[in-house]
Amino acid sequence: MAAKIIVTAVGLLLVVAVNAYFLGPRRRKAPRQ
Amino acid sequence: MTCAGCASRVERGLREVPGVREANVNLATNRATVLFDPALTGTGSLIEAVRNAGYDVAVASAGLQVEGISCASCVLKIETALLDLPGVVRASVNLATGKVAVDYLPNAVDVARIRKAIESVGYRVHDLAEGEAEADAERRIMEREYRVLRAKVLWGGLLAVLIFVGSMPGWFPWVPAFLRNFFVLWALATPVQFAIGGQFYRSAWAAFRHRTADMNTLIAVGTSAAYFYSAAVTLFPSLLGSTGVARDVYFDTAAVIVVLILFGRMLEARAKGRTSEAIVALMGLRPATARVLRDGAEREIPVDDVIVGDAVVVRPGERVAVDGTVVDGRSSVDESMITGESLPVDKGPGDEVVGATINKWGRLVFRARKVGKDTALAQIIKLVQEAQGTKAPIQRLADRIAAYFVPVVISAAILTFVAWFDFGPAPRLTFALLNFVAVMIIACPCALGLATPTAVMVGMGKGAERGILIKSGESLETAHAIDTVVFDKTGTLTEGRPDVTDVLPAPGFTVDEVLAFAAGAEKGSEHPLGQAIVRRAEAAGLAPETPAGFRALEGLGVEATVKGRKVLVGSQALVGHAGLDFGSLVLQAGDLALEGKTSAFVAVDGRAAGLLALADTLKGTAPSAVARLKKMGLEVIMLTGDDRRTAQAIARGAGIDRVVAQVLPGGKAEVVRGLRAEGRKVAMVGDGINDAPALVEADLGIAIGTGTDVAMESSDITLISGDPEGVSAAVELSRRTVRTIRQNLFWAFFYNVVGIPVAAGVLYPFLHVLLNPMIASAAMAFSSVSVVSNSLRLRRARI
Repeated sequence: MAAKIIVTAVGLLLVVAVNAYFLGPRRRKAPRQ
Repeated sequence: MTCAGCASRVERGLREVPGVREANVNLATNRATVLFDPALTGTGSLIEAVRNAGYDVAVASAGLQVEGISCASCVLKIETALLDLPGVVRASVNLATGKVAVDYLPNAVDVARIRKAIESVGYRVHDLAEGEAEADAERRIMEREYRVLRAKVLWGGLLAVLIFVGSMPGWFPWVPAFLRNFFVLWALATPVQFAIGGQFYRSAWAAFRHRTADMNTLIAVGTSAAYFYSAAVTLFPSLLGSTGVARDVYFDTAAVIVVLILFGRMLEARAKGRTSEAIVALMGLRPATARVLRDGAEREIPVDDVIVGDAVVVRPGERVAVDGTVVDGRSSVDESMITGESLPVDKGPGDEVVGATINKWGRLVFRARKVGKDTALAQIIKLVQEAQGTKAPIQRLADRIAAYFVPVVISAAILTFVAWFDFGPAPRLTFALLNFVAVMIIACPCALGLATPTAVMVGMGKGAERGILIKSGESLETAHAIDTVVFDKTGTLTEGRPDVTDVLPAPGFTVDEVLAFAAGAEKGSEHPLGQAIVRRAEAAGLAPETPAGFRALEGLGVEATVKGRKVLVGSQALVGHAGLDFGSLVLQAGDLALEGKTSAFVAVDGRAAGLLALADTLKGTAPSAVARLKKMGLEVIMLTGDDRRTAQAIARGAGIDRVVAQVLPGGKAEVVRGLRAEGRKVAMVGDGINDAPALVEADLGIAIGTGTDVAMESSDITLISGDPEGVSAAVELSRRTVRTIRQNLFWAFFYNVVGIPVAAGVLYPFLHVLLNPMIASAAMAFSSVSVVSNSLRLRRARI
C-alpha cells in the first residue's frame, strides 16, 4: 500500500513538473523582429 | 555627458527602471554602474532608460557564422542563450544563412563569451577563413551541411530498408532468416539511432535546457522508447513471457522515422543553399577593373584601387566602375539594373553616374566620388545582408504542435505507469513499465516527417505549372499569412518599357500620317522609344517602310528619309536646334511631362508634323490582379520613386488606393520595415536591383521573372511570366498548401493519438489487448498513406 501511495504521489508530482517545466510561464523571451 | 547634471539625470533614469537597486554614473569615465535584479529587468531596458534620458550607450556589434541551425526553435534557443548573457543587448539569428548578429556592451561581455554561449546550446561557430568573402564562407557551410545530410539519408535509408524488410517477415517472406534475427536488427538499428540520428539527441537536449520541446524532442523521445524497448526485448525475451504481451521489436519504427525526418531536412537544406546567391549576383555586377587617368595616361587598375578624386574613363559598352560626377564627355547610361527604369538616362558634365550601370555610346570621364563600400551598389549589398540578418523565421507548425504534444504524451505515459502500478494485475511493475514505454512508442508519429515536405513538394510543383517558382518550403508556408502586398511600380504593375500613349498631329497632318512617318524613321532603331513607336504603328495596321539614309543623332533622336521625304524624330532640343516651330504643341508637351510622359517631336520636310507622347503603361492584367488580391482581403500598396501625380494616375488605373510616392532608391526597404512594424505581414513585389533590399526585408519577396537576376535571387518566389496575377495565385497556393499541411499533421498524429489509450491498456480489462505490433504498424501505415494521399489531392486544386 505504501508503495502505491509513493508511486502515485511521485507520478502526479512528475506530471505537474513536466507540464510546468515545458508549458509554464517564461522568465524572459527573446525579442522578435 | 558634459556635466554633473547630466550624470544625475542618467542615474535618475536608471533608478526608475523596476528592478534597479543602485545606479552610479561616473562623469569622468563615462561609465554607469548598475546593480539590478536580473529577474525583473535586463540590459536592454537599462540602455533604453539611458537613451530616454537623452544619452547614448556605446554598443558594439559582431556577426558570427553558426552551423547547424535547422529550425525556428534553434533560432529561439540561440537568441535566448545570448540574451541571457549580461551585456548582450540584441541578438538576431538568421535561419536561412546561419548568421548571428549580436549587439553587446563591450565592457560587459566579449566575442569569446558570446561564442561560448552559442556553443553551449549545441551549435558550432565558424571562423571566417582569412581573405574569404563572407558569401563564400556561407555557401561553403551550406554545402557541407547538405552533403552531410545527404550522406546520412543514403546510409540511413539503406539500413532502414534492411531493418524494415527484416521486421516484416509476413510481407517479405523471401527475406533470409538471419535478417529476421533480433540481434541483427539491433545491430543495424544502432548506428541509425545514435550516429545518423544523433543530431536529434543533441537538439532535443539543447531544447530541454531551454524549457522547450520541439520536433527534435519528439523524435528523440519516441525513437528512444522504441529502440530501448526493442533492445530490452532482444536481451531479455523472458521478461515479457509472464505478461502474455506479444514479443516484438520496433527497430523499424525508430529507423524509418529518423531517416524520413532527415530526408525532409535534406530537401530544405538544398533550398536554403540558394539564399546567399543574391549577394553573389550583386557582387558580380561590379566591374573588376577601372580605367583611370593618372599622369595623363589611361591605366587599367583593379576597381578596389580606385580612390576618391580619380578621373575614371568609361568607354561605350563598359560598366561604370564606381559612383562619381561626370567631368567630360556625353552619353546615355543604362541604369535599369539599379533603378528598374528602362529608358537610358542622358549624362553630361555635372551629372552623377552610379557604379554597375552601363555606358551606352559615348566616352565619359568622371571624377570618382564614392568608392569601395560607399558606392550605391555596395550599399544595396549591405542592405540585403542586413535584411537577411534581421529576418525572423516563421515557427514551423510541426514544432509548435510538438511543444504541446511532448509534455502531454510524457504525462500520459506517467499516468499509465501509475494506474497499472496501483490497479493492474501482477507482475505490477513489469506491466507498468511495459505500458509506460508502449505509450511513448505509439505516440511517435512516423508520418510527421512526411507531413510538411510532401505538401510542399506538391505545392511547388503546382506552382511551377503556373510559372510560379517557389524557393523553399518556408516561403510557401509564409505566403498564406500575408495581409499586405506592396508593388513596386515600374516593371511590376507597368510594362517597364515605354509605349505610345498619345499622338497629337500638327495642323495639316493626321494621326496615322504622324505615326507612319515617325515609325518609318525609327524602323530599325534600337532605342526603346523608337521601338515603342514602331510597335504602335504596327498595332495600328501601318506597316512602316524601311527608311533610307537613317542617321541616329545620339541622345537627341533620328533623321531618315521616308517615302522620299526627310523625317526628323526626337527631343525638343533636337527640333529646337533645327529651328522648327511647333507652336502650341510645345505647351502640350509640357503638360504631358507633368503626367510623367516623354514627348517625341516629329517633323517632315522641315515642317512640324506632330507630337508623340510615350510613357510606361500599365500591364493589361494589373487591374484584375489587384482586384483579385483585394477580394482575398489583402491590402494593396504601390511604391514608386515617381512624383505623386504620375504615381496616382497609374495607381488609379490599377485600382490601388494607397500610394507611397517619391521613395528614394534606398528607401524601399524602409517602407517595408515600417509596414512590418505596424504588425503587418508584407509581401513585396519588385524586379530591380534597388528592390532587392525590400524583397529580402519583406516577409515574402516576390520577384518578376522578366526583371533582374538579383531581384530573383533575393526573392522567395519568382513569377516567370511577369504577370502580376501570379501574386494572388501564389498566395492562394500557399493558403491551400498550409491547409494541406495542417490536415497532414492532423492525420500524422490522429492514428497515434487513438493508439495511446490502447497502449495505455484501456482495452485490457475487456479484451486483454495491450500494445500490439499490429496496432503500431497499422498506425504508422495509415498515417503515412493518409498524409501522402492528402498531399496529392493538392494537385487537383484550382489556383
